[in-house]
Order: sequence, then C-alpha cells, then structure tokens
Amino acid sequence: MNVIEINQLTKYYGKHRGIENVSFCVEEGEIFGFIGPNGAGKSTTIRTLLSLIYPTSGTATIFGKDCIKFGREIRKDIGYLPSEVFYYEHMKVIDVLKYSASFYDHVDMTRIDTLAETLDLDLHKRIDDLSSGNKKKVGIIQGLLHEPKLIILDEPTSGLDPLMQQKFFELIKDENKKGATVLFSSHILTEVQNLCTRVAIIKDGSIIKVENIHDLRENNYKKFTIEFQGAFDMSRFKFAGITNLTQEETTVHFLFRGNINKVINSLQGQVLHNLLVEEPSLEEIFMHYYQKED
Amino acid sequence: MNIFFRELKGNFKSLLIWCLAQFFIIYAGMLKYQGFSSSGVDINKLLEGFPKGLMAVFGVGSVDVSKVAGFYSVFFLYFMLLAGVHAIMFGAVVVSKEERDHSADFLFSKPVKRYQVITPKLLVGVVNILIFNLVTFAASVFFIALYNNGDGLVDKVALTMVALFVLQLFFLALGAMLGAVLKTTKLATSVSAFFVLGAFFLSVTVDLYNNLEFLKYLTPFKYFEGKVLMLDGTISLSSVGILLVLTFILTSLSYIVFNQRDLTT
Amino acid sequence: MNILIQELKMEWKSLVVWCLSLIGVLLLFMLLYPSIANQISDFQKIFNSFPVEFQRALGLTNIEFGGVLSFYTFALTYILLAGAVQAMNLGVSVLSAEVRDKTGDFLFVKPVSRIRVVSMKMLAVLVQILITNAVFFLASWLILNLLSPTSFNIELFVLLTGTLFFIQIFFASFGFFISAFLTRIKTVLPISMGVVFLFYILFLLNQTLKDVKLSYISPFGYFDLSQISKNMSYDSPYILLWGIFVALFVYLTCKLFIKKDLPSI
Repeated sequence: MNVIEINQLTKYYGKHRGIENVSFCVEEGEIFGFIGPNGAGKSTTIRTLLSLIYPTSGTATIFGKDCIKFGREIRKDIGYLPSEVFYYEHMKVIDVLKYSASFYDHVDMTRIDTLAETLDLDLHKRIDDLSSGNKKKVGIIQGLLHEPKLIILDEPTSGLDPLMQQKFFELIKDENKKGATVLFSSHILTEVQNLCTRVAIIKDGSIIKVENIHDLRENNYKKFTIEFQGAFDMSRFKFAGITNLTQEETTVHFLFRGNINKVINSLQGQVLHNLLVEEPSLEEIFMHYYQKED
Repeated sequence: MNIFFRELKGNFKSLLIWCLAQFFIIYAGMLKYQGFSSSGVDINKLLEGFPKGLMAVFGVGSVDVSKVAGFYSVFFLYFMLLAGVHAIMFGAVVVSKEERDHSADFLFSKPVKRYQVITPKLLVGVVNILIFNLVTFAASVFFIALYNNGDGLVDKVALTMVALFVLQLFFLALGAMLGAVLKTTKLATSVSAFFVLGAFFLSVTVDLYNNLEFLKYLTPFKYFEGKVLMLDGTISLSSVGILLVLTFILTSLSYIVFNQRDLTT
Repeated sequence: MNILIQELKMEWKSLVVWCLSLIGVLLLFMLLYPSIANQISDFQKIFNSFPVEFQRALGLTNIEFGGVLSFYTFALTYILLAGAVQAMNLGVSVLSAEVRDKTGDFLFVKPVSRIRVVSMKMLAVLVQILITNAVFFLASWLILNLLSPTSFNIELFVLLTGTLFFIQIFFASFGFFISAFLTRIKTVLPISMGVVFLFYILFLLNQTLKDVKLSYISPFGYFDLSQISKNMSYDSPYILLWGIFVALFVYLTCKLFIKKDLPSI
C-alpha cells in the first residue's frame, strides 16, 4: 500500500516555479529519501503535502485521502520536523510540548520525558533561551510525540551535533521498525544512503529519478580509477556507458555502466600502475545526475 | 550608503500610504471648510463669554474657524497626531528591526561599526518625515488656495510646517531611543504607542483644566499652537529650542545605548 | 479549545495593561469633573442663546448639559480612541502571529482545519474584548457613582458605555481583514495606530461640521454620543451598517485565510 501518492503536482508562486509535475509514491513502512540541491522544490513538495500551501495543479494523497480536502484528518497521523524550528518564544519547552500534544488524541505523555532524556534536553527552559540545536530537539520531540504513522523530515539534521544526529537517526529507525513510514528530505547524501530504502531525486522543480538505493549504487555504476605507467591514449575511453571522465596526470577516473568487459578490452596492451573498481558513493551518482542535465 | 538605500526602498510603500492618508485628511478637511464658511456666523463674538475649560471640552478653541487660516489652524492638532505616530513608530522599528527579522547577525558581522548602521537608518527616518512634511505642506497650500481666492498662505503654512518638522524630529528621536533601549520591536512600539496616546490625553487634560497648566511642558503636543502659528505668524523659539535639545539628547542616548547592546539572534 | 486557551495565556498580560490604561484615562478625566461641574450650568445658558445653525455646526444640538453623564460622554470619546487601538491591535496580531513568529509550521501541521484555527483565534479576541468591556463597565460605574452626588440615568450610561464594545468589535474585525489581506505583517502597532488615528481624525473633522457623508466613513461616527444621549437609543441605519461591515470583514477574512499559502520560514 502507498502511504503517499503524488500525482503531477505543480506549484507556481506567481510566475516563479516551485515544482512542476512532481509524481512519486511512498510505500508503507519504508524510509523514503527525497534529495536535491537547495531550491530544487523539496520543501515546496512537503509543504503542499501538509496543506500549508495549495497546489496550482495536480493532486497528492496521504493514506489514500486527498491531502487538501482531508488535511485535518490526515495530519492526525503525521509528525513533521522542519529544517528550521520556531516556537512561541516566551513559553517553556514543556508547555510547548503539552500544547502540541493537546492537538492529538491519546498521547502518551511519558514519552516527553523519555525522549527528552534520550536527546538530553532541559524541559524547563524557555524557548528563547535555547540554542538552535536545542530548539531542534524540541522539534524532534513534538514531531514524534504522538507516534505518527507518517514522519516527514525536511532537512532535519541541521544544527545537531554528530552525536545527536546519530541518536536522532536511531530514533527514526526505531519508529520505522514500529511501523512508521518516513519521508526524509535532505541534501546530505550520506544520511540518505545510510537510512533510506528508496530515493527520489529532484532538480529544478522536477523529479529526475526514483530509484532503489541499492540499484542506484550497486547494479548500475562502477567507479573506476586507473593509474597508467607513462603516457596513454584518452580516446580509448570514449565509448557509451562512461561518464564523469576526468584525468589527473597519469590517472583516469570515470563511472561506468554496462558490460564490464568493454572496459577491460579497452585496457589491452596498456601497462597499468594501479586499478581500482569501486561502488560509487551516492554523492558521485548524484553529481552525475546533475551534470547530465546541464 | 548601501544601508541607507536599502532602508529607503524598504520604507517606500509605507511612506506612500502615510502620505496618502495625510493628503486625504487635508482634502476632506478643507472640503468641509467650504460648507462651514458659508454659514456666516461671527463665532468670535459668541465665544467671548465662554469659560475656557469648557470650550476645550467641546473642541471649540478661541479661533475664528470661519476664516480659512483659523479653520486650518485647527488641523494642526491632527497633523501633530498623525505625524507623531508616524515618526515615533518609524524610529522604534528602524532601530530594532534587525533583531526582529533575525538579520542582526548578518548585518552586524559585516565590517561596519554600530554607529555606521544607526546613522543611515536615522537619516532615512529624517528623509521620510521630511517627505511626509513636504506632502502636508504642498497639499495644504493647494487646498487653502482653492478656498481662499488663490492665496495659499504660503509663509504661514511654511512656518506651521517648520513647527511640525521639529516635532517630528523629536518623535523620531524618542522612537529611536526606545528602539535602542527596549529588548524587542514589539515592546518598543508598545511603549511608543503608550507615549503618543499619553501625551495626547495629557494635552486634552491641560486644555480642560487651568490649574494643570504646568503639565503642558510634559506633552509635546502643547509646545506649539496652531492658532499662534497660523494667525499671528510667529513660532515659539523657546519651544523649538527645547525640542531640538531634547532631540539631540535622545539621539545621543540611542547611539550610546545601541553601542552597548547585546544583539540577539 | 486548546488554541483559545493558548491565545488567552499569551495575551493576558497585555490585556491587564490595556484594562488598567483605559480605566486610568477615564480616571484622569473624571477626576476633573468636580471642579468643572459648577461651570456647566453657565455653559448651558450661553449655549442656548446660540443661533441654531451654529449649534448644528458644532454638532452639539440638543446636548443635555449638566449631570455627570455629559462629562462622561466627553471622556468616553478618548476611551473609544484607546479602545479602538487595543481592538485593532488584537485583530491584526492574532492571525498574523504565526507568520510573524514563524510558528506556522508548528500550528498548521496539527490536525486542525484552518477554519477552526481562525474561528478559535477570533473567539479569543472576542473574549478579550468582552473582558475589557466588563472590567471597564464596572470601573466606570464605580467612578461615576463616587463622583456624582446625585444619581444618573442608568439606561443612558449603559448605552454610552456599550459603544466601546461596538467600536472594538468593528476595529477587531477590520484588523482581521487587514491581516488576512496583507501577506507579511512584521510589526502590528504602526498599522493599527495609523489606521485608528486616521479614522479618529476623520471623525474629529466631522465633529467640527456635521456631514452625513463623512460620518459613514469613520466608525467613530456610527456611535454619535450626543445623538445617543438625545434619542436614548443607537441609530439604526448605523447599527445596520456596522453589522454589515463586521460580517463582511469576518467572512472575507475566513475566505482569504483558508486559501492563503503560508510563507515558509
């Protein structure tokens, strides 16, 4: 079953493009990555899903219900963590969390204490006395407090130190194991790589690709690094399947997709100093997608 | 200069709205004069026997409002009110807005000294109140001329505008000082509103009750009087002096306090 | 209910300050009453000798002089001004709070419909206005009883004091409308002070000379205190107009706000 179904979603801010014909689905129980550079349309998509903004055209459903028409009902089961969090500045942390909880039915209030303990957050400070990292922790708690079925994270780790990021990912994984679906938007690829099962790549307001992380990395591309002894002929590598070809003195780097024997054949008669064939990092694939578009 | 132009641009729309409001008031007011002057009653004679306190109660000063200069002089209170609100709010917001907009870190981490930020901001304030003043001046002369056989009473209106400008400067400086001293824009504007309303009510009280005459030094709305400016054509130099000195003190205070302020993100 | 309670919790301090200020202003004026009371009968004699057209010109026809209520009427004019600022402030700030404080991503992702958020916030403003009026009503009743040696007309007192409620409701709903209409309000007070003072000055202008057309523009003119004193009732065309405006503002606010894109942080 699909928890989120987005169909030809388009949003224009006046004349400015937000997103154009965005379509993808998020299945129940998965952690779905949503990656793209700044201004690509990640937040616009997410804010439309939450009916904070209204689409110019297209539809989106969550739990099988239209996200604009049934916005209120749907939001009962959504937890949302924006990239920057702002709360009522004169309130204490605990009061913000209680206020947040008051919107949902059957909230287990003991979770406030356990979550605060995990994240090392003082509940009795005022919001305007908190650092941005600590405000973020408030955001995490209020997002997870009501044990939502769908967790939407919009660049959630900014402002958290590495240790906290780790704890945060553990929390998300736990929620996921308990059955929550997660939509995880980020431009930091290692995060997505470590956490997600599938990923949608967005650029300039359009989805470029939706793929299994596994496929994206393993089945498609190999990263080659070849160090030659002495001079060599670059034109050997000009055949289909090779991308991101770069040369540093006697070393060549490229990504390759296709029959690996073609590469081996092209190396015939050359004296090699070194040869590395690796899984490319998501980062490199990602760059590859962007460059292809340019 | 970059800060100056950015502020100027950012305030253009609100200045336009304020000026339009002022223009509308002058227009509506002078339109009424037309009807009023035709009633042809000698008001001065009627008012002779009035107890002073009560005249103020019913908004009747000892001014011949059937003459255009007299009628216009009644406006002066309204000008002071609107211009006062405009100037004090401008001062309070312009000084404190960077923190409200969370742009303080951006601006003050640039290689500028604090005073180099405040000075252009206050200059924009002066430009804004000056434009407001000039619009008032132009609209006044135009509409007076319309109902006074083409005579716009330029010199008397000009004198009135000088008084208005001195008041505007004072309110701008007061606003700026509040913006620098108080923690947030919201607090600064609230206290500013309190000052303007308080000063206005105080001026009414002073009108009302002779024994409270000494309190008039506490409210800027009593420093100049429309009828003295418009009918006698004289301006109280001591009032100008006091207000300018106060403006200077308040401005200096703004600089000193702002320089020592802890900026919040 | 949680939104309502939250709003009231955040606003109760400023509510207390406003209530005290309104009572303070009333007290300021009413304490002057004993010293002026004896002049009022003189005024009545002189005024009655005025030509009718002049009485009309001042908008003072058929004013009932004498008694504490006539003076209360005068003081109330200023209470209405301050009360209008308070109400307008509440109206503008309550719906723009989420944008100003960037808490929209908190509140509007909760499982509540927009219409519920809007109506709860409007309800919060209504509650605050009701509290203000209740407190002011009691306080003014007490003050009048203490100051007036003789009894006064309770019905008229209720009618006069009731105008505060109507004026506040008008400005609050106008404030709603402005905040739904303008996308990014950063500071509330300059807007509400500007608008209220503009209407107030138009009303003052209109007092100088009765003009029916202009009295429709300013809500202060809808509740002419001297007319109320004379007729012992509100003027029904104006009440109707008031109702239409309030309903229109509330309706448009809901319509606009529900369709509004919330700006991201």
